[in-house]
Amino acid sequence: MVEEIKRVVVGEVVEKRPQRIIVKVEKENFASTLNALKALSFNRLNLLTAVDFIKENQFEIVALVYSDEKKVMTIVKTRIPRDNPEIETLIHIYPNAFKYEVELGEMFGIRVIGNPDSMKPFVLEGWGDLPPLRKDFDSIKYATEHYESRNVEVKYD
Amino acid sequence: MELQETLEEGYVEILDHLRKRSLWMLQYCTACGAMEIPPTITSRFDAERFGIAPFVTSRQSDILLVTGYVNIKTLRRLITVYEQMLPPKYVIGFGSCTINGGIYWDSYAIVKRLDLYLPVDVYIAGCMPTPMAVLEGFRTLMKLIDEGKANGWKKYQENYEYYKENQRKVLKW
Repeated sequence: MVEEIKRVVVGEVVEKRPQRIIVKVEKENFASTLNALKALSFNRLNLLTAVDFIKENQFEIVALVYSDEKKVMTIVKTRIPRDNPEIETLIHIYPNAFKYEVELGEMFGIRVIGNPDSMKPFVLEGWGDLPPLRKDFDSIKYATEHYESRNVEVKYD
Repeated sequence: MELQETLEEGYVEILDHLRKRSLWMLQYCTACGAMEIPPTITSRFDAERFGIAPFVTSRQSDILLVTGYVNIKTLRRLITVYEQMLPPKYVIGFGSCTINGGIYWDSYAIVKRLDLYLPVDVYIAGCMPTPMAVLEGFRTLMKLIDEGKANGWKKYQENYEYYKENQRKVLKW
């Protein structure tokens, strides 16, 4: 399976275990890599999400695709800059990427080019702060400021 | 005039006494709280022996059972559902999430106190409350209705501006 992937993918391919293959590609090749993997029977997108690497000032976009035929999971990773982040849409390859991309926009502030619902609120209606899954967002501070708590003292033994 | 007032008071007392025996419940199951509802309403604990039955529409329900945490998206729907219900209506806050946020006290999306936004008649504490605790909560509500103390819906009408202001603060209407 690794040899087949290496033939179609431009980027680093690592076989961690026989059923876990990691592919690291450039930002421009992200959609085309997934398109090529879909032709290799990776017909299911399990997850599309981002990881915030704040020290390196980068986001890592992670897509997990699974092959029902070969029983192999491939993890496709790419790095994008943290300022004004943008990626291409995957909805013409995997239609179920639609809501994952809306979530990327809402939780990380990553704009998805080609997705009509990108940056529209889905869960957080009326949100006016930093996107909450970024590392520099302070959840406890936000919760204490915005939601009133019950004024009781809890005593533990 | 005095006779009429006395009669009206007695009429309300009789109505309250009868009303507590037939409460239809609308569960607003947001989370893990839904797990304790099936054993409560099915044969083992059998909430229907108290006259409490699950129901599907907001227009014909008496109790709004809020099970679990309420976040800023579901709070808006919850308020809509509550305002659709016909009075007299009662709200039960179920689980510690509705009391003080529970394990979601530091979350950016969970409101911590339900009683700022909706008038709660009875709280059932616990994470999770067992079916016995839920039944105890129902019995407490029935007792309050019988004594004429379950007046959350009147409180909501009288202090409408207070509740709306609290809701606006969170929902940014």
